[in-house]
Amino acid sequence: MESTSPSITEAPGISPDFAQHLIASQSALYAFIASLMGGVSEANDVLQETNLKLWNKASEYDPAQPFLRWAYVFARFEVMAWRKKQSRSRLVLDDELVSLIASDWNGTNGDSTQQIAALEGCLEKLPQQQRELLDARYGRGEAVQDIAVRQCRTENAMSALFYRVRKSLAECIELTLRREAHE
Amino acid sequence: MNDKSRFVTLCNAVLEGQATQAEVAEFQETLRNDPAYRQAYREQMKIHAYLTWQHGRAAVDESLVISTSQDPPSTARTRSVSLLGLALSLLLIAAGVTGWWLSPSRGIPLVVISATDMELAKGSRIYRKQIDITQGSLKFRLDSGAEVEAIGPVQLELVSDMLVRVVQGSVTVDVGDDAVGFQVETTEAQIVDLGTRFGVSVREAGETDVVVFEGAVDVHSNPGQSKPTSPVVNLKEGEAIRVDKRSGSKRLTSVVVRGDRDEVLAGNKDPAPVIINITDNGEHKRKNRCYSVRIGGLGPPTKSYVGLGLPKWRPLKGRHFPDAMSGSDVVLMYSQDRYHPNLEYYVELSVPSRLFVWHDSRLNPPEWLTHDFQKTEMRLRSGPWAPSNDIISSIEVPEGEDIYVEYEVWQRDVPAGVVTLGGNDNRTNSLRFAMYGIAAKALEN
Repeated sequence: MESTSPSITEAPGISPDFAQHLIASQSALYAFIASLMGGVSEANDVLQETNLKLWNKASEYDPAQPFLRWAYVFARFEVMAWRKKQSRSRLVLDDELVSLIASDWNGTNGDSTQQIAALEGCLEKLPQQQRELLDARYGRGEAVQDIAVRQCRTENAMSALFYRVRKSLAECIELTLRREAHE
Repeated sequence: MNDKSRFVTLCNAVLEGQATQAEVAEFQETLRNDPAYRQAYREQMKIHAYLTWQHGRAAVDESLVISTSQDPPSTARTRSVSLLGLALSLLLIAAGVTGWWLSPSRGIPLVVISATDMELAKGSRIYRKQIDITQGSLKFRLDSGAEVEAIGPVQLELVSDMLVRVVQGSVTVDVGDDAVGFQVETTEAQIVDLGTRFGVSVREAGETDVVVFEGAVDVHSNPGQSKPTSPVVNLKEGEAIRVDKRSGSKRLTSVVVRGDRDEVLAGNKDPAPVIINITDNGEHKRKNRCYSVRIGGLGPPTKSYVGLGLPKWRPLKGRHFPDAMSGSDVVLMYSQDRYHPNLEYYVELSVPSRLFVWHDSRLNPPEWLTHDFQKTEMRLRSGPWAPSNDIISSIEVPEGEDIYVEYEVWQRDVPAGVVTLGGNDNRTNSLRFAMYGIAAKALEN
């Protein structure tokens, strides 16, 4: 792969550790932001703004503190800024719920690189048919409704199946990370 | 509907961005009143976001990370942003995740969907001007939304997010709704997509094969023009041609594919197909009819017929798929052939093989089948069928149950070469019975 040659030390005041934390936290931040926004459709844009804020505030980060918990504060601030630009009818959650859900996120178990790695392992354990469904929905971006028609199921039944698959993946990730923490 | 079931419905509507205002209000009330549902929502959204991220549908756009604007908001911001991009890219490269911050002038951005090259992480965004794969495969999504699967050996150039030039080998393109007009160019042809999934192969002698799996494409003969000339041909689902400037274009009778998504394998010798060609003696309304041979693809569920999305080859209810047949090369059949008793098929096999034919159990087997093949104890079924289809009009099932057609499996061991198979049935009402299936498996020594 081609790349430019400047060294990372050219970024004044930014430690490689900080940048590593930031990269390792991308998918967790994305998930946190999406949960406060009530959807993923614009979560990328808010994540970008959050990345900029975190980068500019790098000197204030205390390496003794969990990075994600520190980063969530800025991500939440960016979500609030995004909410101000939206009409109320477009918001899925009200201010009170954003606050409640944000406080439920007490950092995640392991950084998001570990979570994504655990997810990969958990996906491998799924039955082939469920993997194919996830590939259709998330890989090819097909609508649940279209998948349901192809599988001769109702949309409600297909949505319920996706719900169950996501739940089992969440449990599997949790279990995997807990096991790894004890090894 | 109970509370849990209602929550699942509401939560899915929110995740899919399809909740109405009334549903949003109900969802908010549920979350406010019950911490357990808040926890469930958080868990669902987290996995939904991870899956979106992991499948490359949420890769961070470098243009937002690195300001390339002509008029940046401030020098300080631009510098910070550039450094952020630089740091992220260098660390990603160090971590084996390629290319978040490579200049657009170095190629066309793409998101890796899957790759056999371990250095190309799923979901990573990279820049490429060309792709040259000797072994393995790379599946990626361009910014136009078009998805391209390249299976080595293959060489291609990425000209833009709407134009790919294939130099050698095969690619399969899934254009979707957002990239209608996407083009694939070769030295022989220019293929303009009309909303579809299609495959293009450039053979060693330079001819170009084009096969359409869904939708339609226009094939033009003068690549490199800023505006395509009038199309040589419009190809629809199940049709294919070979374009050769010296001898003109002609029907391509069969194509070898793999997987459920019909990835074209022309030029790829590993794995080697058992069925290397199939053609027939018919004069079809669609004169460019092409048979797809799915290599090693027979197993539950495998699509049964061209243009019919529902029926798949399956074992009988409560039974396993017959081991002896699993993994055979299987032909995607044309359902309308069921009422052409004089149709003959010519199946070309690369090695000594066991040839399987499975025939609608409701019909008397035709003479060519009873004469040349042995009946086995194995059974298959196809389905579910749409209730309106003539083929299953005589089958009665309890209300609400899916309808399937059962088949008796026949087999015959044959040497490498061409085997002739006859028509499905010669009864006048054969419209109401299903077309047979064909598969072949190499004999072990």
